[in-house]
Amino acid sequence: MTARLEILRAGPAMTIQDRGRPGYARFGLSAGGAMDPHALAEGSALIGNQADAAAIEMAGIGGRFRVTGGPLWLALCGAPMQATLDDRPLPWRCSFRAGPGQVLNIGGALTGVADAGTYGYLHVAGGFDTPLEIGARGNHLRAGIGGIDGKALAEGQVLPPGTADNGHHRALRAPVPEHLGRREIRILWGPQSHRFRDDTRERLLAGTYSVSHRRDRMAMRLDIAGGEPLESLLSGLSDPAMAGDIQVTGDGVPAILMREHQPTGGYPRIATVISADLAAAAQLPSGAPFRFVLVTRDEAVEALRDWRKSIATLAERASPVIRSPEQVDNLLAYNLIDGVVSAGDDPGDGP
Amino acid sequence: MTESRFPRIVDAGDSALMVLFGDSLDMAVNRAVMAFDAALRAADWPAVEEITPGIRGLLLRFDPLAKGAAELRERIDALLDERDWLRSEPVAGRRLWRLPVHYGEESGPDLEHVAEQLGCDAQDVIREHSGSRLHVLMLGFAPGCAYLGALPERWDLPRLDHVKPEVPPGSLSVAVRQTVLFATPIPTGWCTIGRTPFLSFSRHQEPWFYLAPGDEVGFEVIDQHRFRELSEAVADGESIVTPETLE
Repeated sequence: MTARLEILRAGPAMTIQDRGRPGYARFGLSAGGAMDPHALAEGSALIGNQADAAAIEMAGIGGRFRVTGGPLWLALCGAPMQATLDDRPLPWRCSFRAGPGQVLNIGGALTGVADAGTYGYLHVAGGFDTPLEIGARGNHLRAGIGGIDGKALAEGQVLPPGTADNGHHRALRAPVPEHLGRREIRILWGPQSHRFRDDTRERLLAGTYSVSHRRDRMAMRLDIAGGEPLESLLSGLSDPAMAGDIQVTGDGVPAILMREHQPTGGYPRIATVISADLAAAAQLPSGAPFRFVLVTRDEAVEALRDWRKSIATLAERASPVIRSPEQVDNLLAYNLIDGVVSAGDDPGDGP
Repeated sequence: MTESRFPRIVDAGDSALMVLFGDSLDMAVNRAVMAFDAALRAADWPAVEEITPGIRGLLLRFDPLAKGAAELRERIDALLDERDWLRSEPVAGRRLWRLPVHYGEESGPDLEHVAEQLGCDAQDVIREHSGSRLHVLMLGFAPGCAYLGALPERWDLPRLDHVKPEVPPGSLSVAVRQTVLFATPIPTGWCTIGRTPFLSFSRHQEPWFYLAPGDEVGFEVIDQHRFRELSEAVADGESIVTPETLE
């Protein structure tokens, strides 16, 4: 019998993700892909997967899984979540072996830890072998493609690992990534920043924000500390948009476009999150205060260089797990955060 | 930060820039976008990752750490200076798609509303809309969702005062001198006047996307019976529209 991972319970918006499908924006399809590509790469580094391997992305809360048919090598990465294997606590950011019949239970994302975030990832050696669709396996929920039949994962589904598993495994631990727990998001002004008043742009930089519960893979609506909205501008002609754009809707509230963004949009965009900080923004826990910091283009490019270097060196920076799971700190003591609620139910500035 | 003349290049984050040719819905501007898109794609410069043409400008994504990134902006500048892009002819090799459309009834619940706004009857709306030849100004919002234009000035209609939670794939909706053709079920605040069985996005069949930016679209009026027949053919994986290549 071949080893499989059976889903006994699925958190909301639990999806198969990989690096997405860049290149189709001209046909109305944004690239999608993992909200935290660093976490995706961590898991691949720990269990020797190819860079295009698919993993399970868990938004705010995980699920319950059973290994069937044979042992599987798994890894948990991204935002740390409460996790147990047959009721024994599992360390985060580590690879481990799970035997047939064993039950993996992943709860809510941990709060009160330095590396708190929102999106956790479950990897399997060989990657999850769900169907390739338009060149990738990643689930684009808005477009209804990828994953299993274009939809989020659900209870009762049985996921096969790919055959690319090299079979040589040991328990490894990845270093804590720098972007988790960061509360400063670096931005650049963009093509439409000039449409806003100077004092509005100053307020964007001076204010404290948090990601609201209206967040999903498409966009994250922000709460402004003090509640005073930014500036209300009329929508303009739709222009191509990109992940990281900070758009301001008619009510003066900013939202950051994420991986599954609408490929075009007419809401004015006040600024753009730098490429190196898009995952840090995605991982912000709902309600956690953060600030925007203006940087220069050169600083943004240097940050991108560091970001890529961090991803490229993951395998060499992984270390053998020296503590057994039973000795890990009591991870269960932390509070849980709420789930992730859709921000994209209305067409916004679309047709 | 003041607006300068067009065309102009503006940075969009650290890994993209926009080339803007105007600030309104204008066919000369859109032709400039499509011509410049074709020229950029033909140039095939290193570091360029993706070009997304829009109604009045295009987004060019590049890898700022790749070889050639430092020279990219100068090269784009030089290409812009090569000629007057606002006097571009439509790009050669674009295709003409003649789409069968069932107007009104359950396919176009807002047909009467549009007729009222235009001050004519529903038959006039059908005659005028189906007689128009439109350009794919941009694809956006959702996969295969095409913004077609431009309709005559009097079609500068407002959006509805409410958003319909979902209209079916193939729906044709009008507002602001444009017709938007959906390929997936999506919410809209535009006025839906008809529906085509043709779908410009098919997740199961290569090439997945059919209409491309710059293509032209014409319409052929069909009745409900024919709409159902053609819809069944599409469901069976048949191709119901064969595009002509325009020079």
